Amino acid sequence: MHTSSRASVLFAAFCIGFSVLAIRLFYWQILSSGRLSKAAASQHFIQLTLPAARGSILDRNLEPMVINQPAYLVYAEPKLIERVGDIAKVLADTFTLSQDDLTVSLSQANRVWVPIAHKVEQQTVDALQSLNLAGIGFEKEPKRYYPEASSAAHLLGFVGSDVNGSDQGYFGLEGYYDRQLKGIAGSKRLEKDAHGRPILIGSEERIAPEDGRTLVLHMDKAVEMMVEKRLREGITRYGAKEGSVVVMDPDTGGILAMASYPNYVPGDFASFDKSYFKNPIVAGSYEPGSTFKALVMASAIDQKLVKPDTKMDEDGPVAVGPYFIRTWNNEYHGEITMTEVLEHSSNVGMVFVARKLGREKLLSAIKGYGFGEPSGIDLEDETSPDLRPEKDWHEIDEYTASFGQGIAVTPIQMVRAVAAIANGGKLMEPHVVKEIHEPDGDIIPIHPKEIRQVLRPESARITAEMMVSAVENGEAKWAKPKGYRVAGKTGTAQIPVAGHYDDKKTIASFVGFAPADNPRFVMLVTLREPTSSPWGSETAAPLFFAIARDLFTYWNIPPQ
Amino acid sequence: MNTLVKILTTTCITLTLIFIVGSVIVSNQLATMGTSLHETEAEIVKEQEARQALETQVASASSLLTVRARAQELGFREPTTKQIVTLTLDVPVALGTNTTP
Repeated sequence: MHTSSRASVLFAAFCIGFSVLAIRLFYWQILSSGRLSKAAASQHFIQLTLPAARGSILDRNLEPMVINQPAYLVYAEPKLIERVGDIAKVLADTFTLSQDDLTVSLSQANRVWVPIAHKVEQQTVDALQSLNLAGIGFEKEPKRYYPEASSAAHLLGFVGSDVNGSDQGYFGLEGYYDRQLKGIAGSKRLEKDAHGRPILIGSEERIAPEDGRTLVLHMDKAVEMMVEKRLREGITRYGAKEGSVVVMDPDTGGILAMASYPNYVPGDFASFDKSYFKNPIVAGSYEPGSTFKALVMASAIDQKLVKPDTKMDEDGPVAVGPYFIRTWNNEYHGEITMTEVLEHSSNVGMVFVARKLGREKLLSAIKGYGFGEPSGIDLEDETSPDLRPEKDWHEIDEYTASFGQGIAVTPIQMVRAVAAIANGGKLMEPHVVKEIHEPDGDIIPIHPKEIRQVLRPESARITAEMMVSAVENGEAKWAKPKGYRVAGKTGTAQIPVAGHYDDKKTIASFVGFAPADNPRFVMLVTLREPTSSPWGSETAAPLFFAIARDLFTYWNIPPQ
Repeated sequence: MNTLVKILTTTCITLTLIFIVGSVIVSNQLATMGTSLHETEAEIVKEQEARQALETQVASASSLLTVRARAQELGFREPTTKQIVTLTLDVPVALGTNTTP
């Protein structure tokens, strides 16, 4: 072979060799770089997630309503388990699980890790740890703790899991303020040695977690407990199917208490049907019945169409086309004043007021009070029943709406509308949270929000005085606490069923505020289908006054 | 001049050696402190959990449910409306007035 040929062969061999090297390098450096980098990182680094602590929920006196408690995920590593049957029995007894199913899961040698139970409390974990069970491990997994058990369940909501298994707030405050409460998880990346221990002189990357914010409520948990106790007693005494009470500060719109029964236990929400989770005060609608009369009367006074001493003739049922509008007891008092219309809760008298107002002003007033739109309360599950389109209102609808039938509202809409009479005519946005506390100690106040002035202060004052007369001289006067000036109105609305009103089923309610001259609270009580009596004056009103009496004592409000 | 260069060179070499040896010693010590760091971090986590558990116990012991149950055990009863006496600011006697007999 010639020298030049040998050189060519050698050159070609080098070229091929270098090409093979280049291809291989391309494979390792470019194509496989991501996978190899990850593999190298997993061998050299520890990547830790630094979970953010979920914020607490405190009442106005900074007493805990919801805090975190230590809890654990209990898991098994089948490869490390020697006596599967024994361990399956212990776990089955501890967590009330099927021993057979556990035996099957723990016998699968190809499974590295089997979750057994989530959010297990410290005492149970301590008991299991004392048994020294090989192959059973524990991972921190904080859990919500409710010191007052089911108190304010609908208002608080609960924490469940999202599709990824992470904590997620549902309903109430937990749902509405989920992003504020959950915070942002951090991470830590450390170089590790062959035993997995961190190397101090190695590199470290740390992103600190941001703990969730703490919510401070307008609610006073002592008031909440009083309200709940009275509501439970009331539901039992009057044989009601359901009941709700909401207490609001009329000046700020702050929710002081909110209770509904039946309710659920947030710490054990999985044991309850999901129909229990919605808060009837913000998500349930009802026909307000005669409690609505006070609002329509206030608007007529505001429009200067009637005065408290304006007289009308209540001489019998009012015929409207094929319909007859009667008083609730079919008794008629002849010539009566507007104050007496509220005292007697006269439907016929309200037809007189509705005629004075006319359709346009009546609808404008209803919308002005915020009906037909969400109240803006900071709870996740708020809904708002739609108002009938204006073109669909007929004469009979105007008249029935004036005494609260044929119109659907939520309790929170109703209580904030009446609060406008109590506070000088201002429609406030109801709020549950008073302040948000940052983990670093900064406080973000949530200021009261006035939506609009719906009544002149003078009109509100006159209506409040008429409501005081309605309490002093109305059907519920027997239940009123002596010496106190309470403004209020009873309501008894029939329940619409399949296109007609059920004769026997009613929603009894009472809405009012006290002390009437300088209201400290406005409160709405509703009882669904009371069986002892269908009337609000005999069920919801005494319950209202029982709670009011407790509040007067608790807040040291003397008789006027 | 040569002597000065020699002294400087020797000093530099000596300092370099001291720093190298020192660096090796410090690095070795730090590298073996990973275990104690690990233990310290585990201790911090344990203390945080203990604090959280104590907070839970305090919240439970001071909850109104617990207080109410304990009060009932001790024989306390809720007052009836007749047992609540309200004193108004208007005192029905001539307290504080300067009167002479």
